[in-house]
Amino acid sequence: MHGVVVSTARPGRPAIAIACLLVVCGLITGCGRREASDGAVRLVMTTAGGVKERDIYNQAVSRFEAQHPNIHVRILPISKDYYRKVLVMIAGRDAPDLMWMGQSFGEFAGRGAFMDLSARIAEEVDLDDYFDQPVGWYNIDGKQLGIPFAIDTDFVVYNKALLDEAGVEYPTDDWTGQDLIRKAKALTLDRDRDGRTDQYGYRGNVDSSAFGAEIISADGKTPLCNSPEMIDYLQFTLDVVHKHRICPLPGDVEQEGLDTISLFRQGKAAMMRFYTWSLPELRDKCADLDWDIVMMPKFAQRAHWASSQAILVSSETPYPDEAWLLCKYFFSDEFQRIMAFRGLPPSRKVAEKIVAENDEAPENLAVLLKAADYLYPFPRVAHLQELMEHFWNAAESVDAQRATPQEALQRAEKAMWRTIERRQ
Amino acid sequence: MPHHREVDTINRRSGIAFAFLTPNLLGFMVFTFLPVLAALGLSLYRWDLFHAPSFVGLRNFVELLGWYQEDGQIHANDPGFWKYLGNTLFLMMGIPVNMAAALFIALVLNQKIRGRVFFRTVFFLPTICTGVGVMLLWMWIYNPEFGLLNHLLSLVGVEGPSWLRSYAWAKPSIMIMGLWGAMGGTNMIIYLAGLQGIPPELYEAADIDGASSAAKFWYVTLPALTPTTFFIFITSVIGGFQGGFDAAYVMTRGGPDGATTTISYYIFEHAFQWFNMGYAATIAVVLFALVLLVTLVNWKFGGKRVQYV
Repeated sequence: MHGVVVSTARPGRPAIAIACLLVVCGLITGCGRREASDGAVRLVMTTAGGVKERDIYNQAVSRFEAQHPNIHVRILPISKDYYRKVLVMIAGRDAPDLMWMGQSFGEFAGRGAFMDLSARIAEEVDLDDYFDQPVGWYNIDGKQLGIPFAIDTDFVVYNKALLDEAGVEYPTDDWTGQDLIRKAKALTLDRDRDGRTDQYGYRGNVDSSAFGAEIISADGKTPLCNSPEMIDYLQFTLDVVHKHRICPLPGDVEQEGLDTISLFRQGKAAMMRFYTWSLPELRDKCADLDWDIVMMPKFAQRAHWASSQAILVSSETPYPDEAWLLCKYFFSDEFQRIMAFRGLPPSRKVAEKIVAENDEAPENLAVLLKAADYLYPFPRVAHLQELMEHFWNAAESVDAQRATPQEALQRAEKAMWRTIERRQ
Repeated sequence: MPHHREVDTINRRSGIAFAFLTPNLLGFMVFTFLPVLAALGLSLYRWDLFHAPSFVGLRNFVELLGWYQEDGQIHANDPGFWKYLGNTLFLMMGIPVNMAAALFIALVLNQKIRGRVFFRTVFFLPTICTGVGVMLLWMWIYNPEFGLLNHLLSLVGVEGPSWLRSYAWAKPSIMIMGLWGAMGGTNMIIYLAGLQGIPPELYEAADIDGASSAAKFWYVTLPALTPTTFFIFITSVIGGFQGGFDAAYVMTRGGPDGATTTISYYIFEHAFQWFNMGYAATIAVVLFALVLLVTLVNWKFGGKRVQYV
């Protein structure tokens, strides 16, 4: 029979199909909860770092599990975008029981991500031997949230051969900013006389704390960047590029994809600012170079940028006792010693032993011990990155010579106040 | 009345159709529709991802789009939003250039020349290369000390700028990279298909009338391509509003001084770097409204100029 065929399918079928789809979607999005195990406690720990760190954590966990057969630990190594991935886990109500924390500790701690370990630490841990500052970095509002296992800081690496070639004396730990400029000028060379610098005397800038400048108060409620000290600092960053010509634009050094160690190795810079986490790669890739390290030069004061690493217990963990047992291992002397290849141990005793036993480059590893008395980390505040964004924008506008230091810092201070008001 | 067998056939076909559509619909629901609905709702909340969201009503929108008076001057509550919207619109100025370049390449590759397949492949290669890898490559090209571009400029006595670190050159640098990738990309393929869909009789009629190559292009090719151009323009504008994230994230981190921060990167910063998920959702909703408005305007006024052959 010809003509229009009218469908007599039940009218509700498409609606039923869509309803089923919605239910399935809901189930899928609701997935991801860890099931309770059969008597054994299962902990999840997130870690950052490269292959070597991953192996270290795996071995540490194996030793721990051998001593605690009823606790199983699953390590989630995250080598890229660590904080974002942990953030998504927390937002998805699937926070790991323990997590590695570095520079962003304050932002997570300020939002209640970590368990208060004050009572446990007071009872079970002897902190007398620790450097004063680093332990205090993990005390937020009177709560001790953890103890670091490594301190990161900066130092200047210098190529002895290039200094010898230019007849420049090696820098010493008591050198000043003027010494840096003088030496770097003698080390900045246009070898092929094409009008372009082939070797810079210094690359990497210095920390603003060396000028006595601060960006934000310790409680994160008052911008401090608009100060004479900060103006001096930003003027210095301009002068090293445009007046003294000992350094390229700061952004070029930190541009991602630019291998700073290769720059040093190829003699593109006689002196460079590096950080403790670069030590393994420096030892590996610059094994055929004669290099050493020295403290950051003194300007208004001696200062070393600092950060630290710790394994902390989540405030959401359903297994606080077991998590604490594992956490304790990760600031033990043994673990600090293992991780000393890329950071300074916070225990003075362990740090001094590492320095005393050092038989590889750098010869002057004692720099890290001395730097421990001059550490200046970023404040541990909840909105640090958002506030720092205003300061970095100001610094970049000065670098690009779009604004004077005074104008840029006034703008940054105003923007910081707005952010502080909005986030209260 | 349809026979039972016909009804069964219709039902079976409907079932088969749903079965084939389900994976796509499932993906759309889970990864697009539900998140968009969630974002709409989230824009009315303050949420730092650690605690439960707290309802703030339209406060986020006031913070984003409102203003205040100080010292007799009007100031935006969020000056960054307007600056980054400006950056986004600036980068979108490359759209007509990219379209023209794609059309030009398509015209050339539509000719019967030797090695046509080879050239089509070569021009399309940037599109299939991994975005991040290409951007890392361009970072090396743009490096002011060791980069290829400044080296070539130095050969003709020109000192190149610090491309990605220069406030004036950062956005043009990204536009140049975009042009390189876009001129042989998907738009070129779409134009190629459009060119091959033009009836040859039109060109034969033009030949009979003694039209020159330029006249044929202007009076036959371009009008015949208006549906294709309209489609490419609409999709490019939508993509332009949403774009700029990759380059900002990989190459410049939004700098220098916010010069390369686009709206999409600003949303990312608020959501995943500054823990302001509710505010990020608000920006996303405003962006959605803006894209919808612009698309409707384009559709209303641009659609009138489309000629179908």
